Amino acid sequence: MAEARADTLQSVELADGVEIQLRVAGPAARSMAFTIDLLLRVAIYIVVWIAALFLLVKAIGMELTTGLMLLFMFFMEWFYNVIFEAGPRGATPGQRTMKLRVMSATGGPVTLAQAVLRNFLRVVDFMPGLYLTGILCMLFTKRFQRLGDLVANTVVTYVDPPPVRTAHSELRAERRAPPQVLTREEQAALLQFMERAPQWADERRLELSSLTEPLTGAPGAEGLRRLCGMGLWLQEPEEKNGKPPPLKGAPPLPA
Amino acid sequence: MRLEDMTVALRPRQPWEAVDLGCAMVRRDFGRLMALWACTVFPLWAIICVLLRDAPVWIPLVVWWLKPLYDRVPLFFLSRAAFGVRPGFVETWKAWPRLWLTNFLPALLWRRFSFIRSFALPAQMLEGLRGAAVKRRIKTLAMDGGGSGFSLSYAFSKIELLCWLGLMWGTYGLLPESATPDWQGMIQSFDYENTIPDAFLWWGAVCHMIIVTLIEPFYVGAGFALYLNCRTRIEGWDVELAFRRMASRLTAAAALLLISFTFLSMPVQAAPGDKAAQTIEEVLEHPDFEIHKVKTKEWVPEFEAEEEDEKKKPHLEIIGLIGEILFWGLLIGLVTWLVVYLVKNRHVFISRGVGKKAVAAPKVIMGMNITRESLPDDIVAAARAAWAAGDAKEALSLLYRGSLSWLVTRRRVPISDSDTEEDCLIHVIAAGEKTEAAYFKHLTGAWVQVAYAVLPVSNTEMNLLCDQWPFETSKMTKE
Repeated sequence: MAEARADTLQSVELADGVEIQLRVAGPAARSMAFTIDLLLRVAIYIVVWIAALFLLVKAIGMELTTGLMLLFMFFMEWFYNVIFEAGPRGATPGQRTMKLRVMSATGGPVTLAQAVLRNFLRVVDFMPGLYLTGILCMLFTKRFQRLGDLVANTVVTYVDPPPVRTAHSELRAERRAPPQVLTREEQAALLQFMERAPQWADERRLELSSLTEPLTGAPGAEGLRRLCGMGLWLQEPEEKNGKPPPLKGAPPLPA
Repeated sequence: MRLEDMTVALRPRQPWEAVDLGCAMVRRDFGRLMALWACTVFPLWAIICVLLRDAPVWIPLVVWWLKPLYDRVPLFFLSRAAFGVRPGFVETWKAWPRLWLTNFLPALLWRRFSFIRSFALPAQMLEGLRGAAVKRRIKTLAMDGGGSGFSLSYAFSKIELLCWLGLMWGTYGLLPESATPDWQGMIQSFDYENTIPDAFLWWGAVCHMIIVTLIEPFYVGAGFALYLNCRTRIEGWDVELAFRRMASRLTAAAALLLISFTFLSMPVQAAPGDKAAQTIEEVLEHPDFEIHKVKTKEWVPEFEAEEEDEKKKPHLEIIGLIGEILFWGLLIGLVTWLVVYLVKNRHVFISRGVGKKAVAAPKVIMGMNITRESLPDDIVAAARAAWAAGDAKEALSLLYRGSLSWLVTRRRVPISDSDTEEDCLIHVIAAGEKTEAAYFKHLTGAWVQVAYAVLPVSNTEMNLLCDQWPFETSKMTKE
C-alpha cells in the first residue's frame, strides 16, 4: 500500500524497545470533558457562594467574604485541573466521565510539572478568545495536542475500555487446528469473527466465512462450521483432557 | 468499492474515537479539501453577499442555513479518498450539480434541523437510496450510532460557535472606531440599526465564513467516520478485509505448493518444514541475530617475578623497618607534645570565674590607678577632706576613681584600659543598674568639668555627690 492508513492510534516506543499505541483523543471528546468540568466548577461556585453568604458574612463581614471567595475562585481556576491531572487517575471528573486521561506523550503517567505546565499554558491556548488557538491547534496536530500539550509533551488518551464479555453460545463445531500457518493479523481477525459473529445476521456470517474457502476448503455452512472450529482452536488450543497440543499456528512437523 | 484499497485503518472503535478518525482523515487531505471548498462554496457565498448587501445582518444566518449543501463535496471527496481514489477537480466539477441537487429540498427544509445531520448524510448520499428507504436506513444506523451522532453535532456546533466568538473577540480591538458598535447607545435606546455599523456586521459575517470554512470539513469527516465505524461494527468490515487478504495469500501459497508438488515431486508434508527451516536460516542470517562476543582481558600482575626480585634485594626490608619506626616515633612525639601543650594552656580552653576575673579587671583606666590599694579606705570622707582643703580636682578624682574601681571589680562592667570617660559611661549605662548609672553620669559630668574644662563645681553639688554615693566601698575593703 502506497500510503499509511489514517488512524487514531499513535505508536510510542518505550525505553526497552517495546512499541505501545496510545489512543489519543481529539477536540470533540475533550471539549465535552471541558464543558462538564466548567459546569461542575460553576456549580461549586454557586454552592460555596450561597454557603458563604449564610455562614460567613455575619461573622467576618461582606468585604472579607468576597475576598475569600475571590481567592477560592482563583485557586479553583488555576489548580482544579492540575490537582486532578497530577493525581493517580490523571483525569479531572469531566475527563473521567468521558473516559479520558492525561498521559505523557512518552506513554508514562503525567508528572506534576507537566500538569502544571499544560494547565498554566491554557492562557495561551485561550487567546485571542474562547480557546480559538487551542481548538485549531488540536485539530491540526497529529496527536490532537493544544499548545500546552505540545510544551508539556502530554497527550489526552482514552482509558482502555473494560474487556467485553461475550456471550458463550453453543457452537456445534469440532475444534480443529488450521491447516495452514496463520499470520498474527489473520489470527486476530478470526478471533474478532468469533467474538462478533453472534451480532451478525446469518447471511453475513456465511458471506464472511465463504471468503475463507481457501483455508476451510468447503463452501457454505460446512465452511462456516470449520471456520468456527478453527476459531475455537485459537481461543483454546488445549483439549480439556487430551494430549498436549501442537504449537499455535505451527505446521505439522514432517515425520 | 474495494475494501482492500481502504486508506483508513478500520476496527470497531468507541464513537468518540471514530470522530477522531474523521478529524485525522480531514487533516490528511485538508489542502485538497480547502481547494474544492473554495471552488464550490466561495462562489455561492459571493452571490449571497451581493444579494444581501443591504442587510448584512442576515448573511451569517443564510450561510449557516445552507450548510448541508457545503457538506456534500467534502463528503464526496472523503468517501472516495477513504478507498484510495482521490477525485480531481474535473471529476468533482462534473459531480457537483448532482451532489447539490440530490435530496436538495429535504436537506434544506425539514432535515436541516436533524441532530444527526453529518452522521446521516453518508447514508443519504452514498447508498443511493431514496424516499422512505433512506428514512428506514437512517433509523437502523441510528440505533447503533444515533446518540453519538447527536453528541457529535453538539460538540461541533459548540466548537464552531466558540471559534467564531473567539475570533470576533480577538479581532475586536483591531477594528477602527467607525466599525465598532456604540454599546452604551444600544443599551439605552434599543436602536440596533443605527448603533451597530454595517462594517461590524460585515466583519462578523466574514469571521463566520472563515470559521465555517475551517471547522465544517472536520464535522463532515467526523460524521463520515462515525458512519464507517457503524458499518464496521454492524457488518464486520475489518474482518472481511482481513479474510480477503488471507484468501489471496493462501491462494497464492496453494498455487506455489502445487507447483512444487508437480515439478519437484516433493512430499507435500515435508515442504512446509523445509521451508520453515530455510526461513529460520534466512532470519538468523540477519545482522540482528549475529552473536557478538565481548572478550575482556584482565591484567594479572606476575607475582612470582616480583618475589624473585625481593629475594635479590633483602636490604629493602630493613629500610622499610626503619621508616616504620621513624613514623611511629614521630607520631608518638607529636601526640605527646600536643597533650602537654593542651595541659599547659588549659586555662584558655576551660573558662572558670577565676581566670575571667583576672583578665577582665583592668588596673589602670585613662592613666588613673583604680586598684583598691591605691585608694583610701573611706573614699567619701577622703573626698570631703580634699574638698575642704580646697583641692576640688583631687576630691572629684577620688570619687571618680572609687566609683570606677567598684564598677570594674564588683559589677564587672566590661571597661578596658583604653576607654574614655564617654565609653565608660556607655558601658555603665549598658550594665543596667539605674541608680548607679545615674549617679555615675552625674559624677562623670562633674569630673569632666573640673578636670578638662577647669571650671569650678559648686559646694552644693559636691555635697550632693558625696551624700548620694551609692557604692559600698567599706564592704569592698573587707574582702
